[in-house]
Amino acid sequence: MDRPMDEADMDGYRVFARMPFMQLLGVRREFSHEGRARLVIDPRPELENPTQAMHGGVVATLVDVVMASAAVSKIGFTRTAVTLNLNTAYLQPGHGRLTADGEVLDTCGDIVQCQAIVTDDSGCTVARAIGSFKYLDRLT
Amino acid sequence: MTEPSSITTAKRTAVSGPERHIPFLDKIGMRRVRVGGGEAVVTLELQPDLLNNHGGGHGGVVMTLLDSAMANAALSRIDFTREVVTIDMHIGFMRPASGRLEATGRATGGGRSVCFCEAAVTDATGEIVAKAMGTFRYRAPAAPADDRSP
Repeated sequence: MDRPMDEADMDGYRVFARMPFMQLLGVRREFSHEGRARLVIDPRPELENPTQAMHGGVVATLVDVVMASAAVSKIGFTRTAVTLNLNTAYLQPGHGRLTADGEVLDTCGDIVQCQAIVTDDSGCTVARAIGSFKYLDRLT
Repeated sequence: MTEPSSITTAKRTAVSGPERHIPFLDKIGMRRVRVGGGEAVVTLELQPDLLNNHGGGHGGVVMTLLDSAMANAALSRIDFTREVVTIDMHIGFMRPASGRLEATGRATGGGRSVCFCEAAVTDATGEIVAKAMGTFRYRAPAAPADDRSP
């Protein structure tokens, strides 16, 4: 980014807060800036699997969104991003509050590679992911 | 097992077996259409709160369907005598998801402790929305919360 964010970019920044599925899950974004992003989710019974841990679908959602958020922050929210491919390894059951950290690894034209890690409050790694995303122009 | 799973009080309290209650899948409105012989089909009608900022089904919803279809396929391979946990999952997103989605999962291999699966999500027109490969590990069935060994 070699220019300050304009109103359209700010609108891109605010996309996260408007995303219906994030509201449904109650995911909060702590920051999304210069190719890094962090999301937090608190446990709720309705997000659980039969073992009272966070459902794998919720964890997959976290890594997907935190990487997409890191990707669009890398270009100052001037464009949006769609997921092409996502690989997630589940290392531990997710109990309690979960924090997802995403970062951009590399960009090549329209394609951006990211990685993410999900940790619990004790610092234990719950999941790791790597994903490829494609930048798209925003719908105006 | 051909009837769609519906939620009754008895099923809600089940912690193991084919009718065990999975809170998150209830929340997003996923239903199992059929399961058996290492194959499973699950379905979901996309609602406004399951969408992303492009107006399509959120990737997290699509992945949840794929995960559940594969987990059910893996469980049916052992007649639901144990539980499964996802070890890893690889997803390719081919096109935006809209309308009614259906995921078909298949157990493709593995042994006593691990099961390899594949799954695909199609939309109402039959187009493939996303495909997945997953690895699952069998574990002891879930015990009631107050009945767990330390």
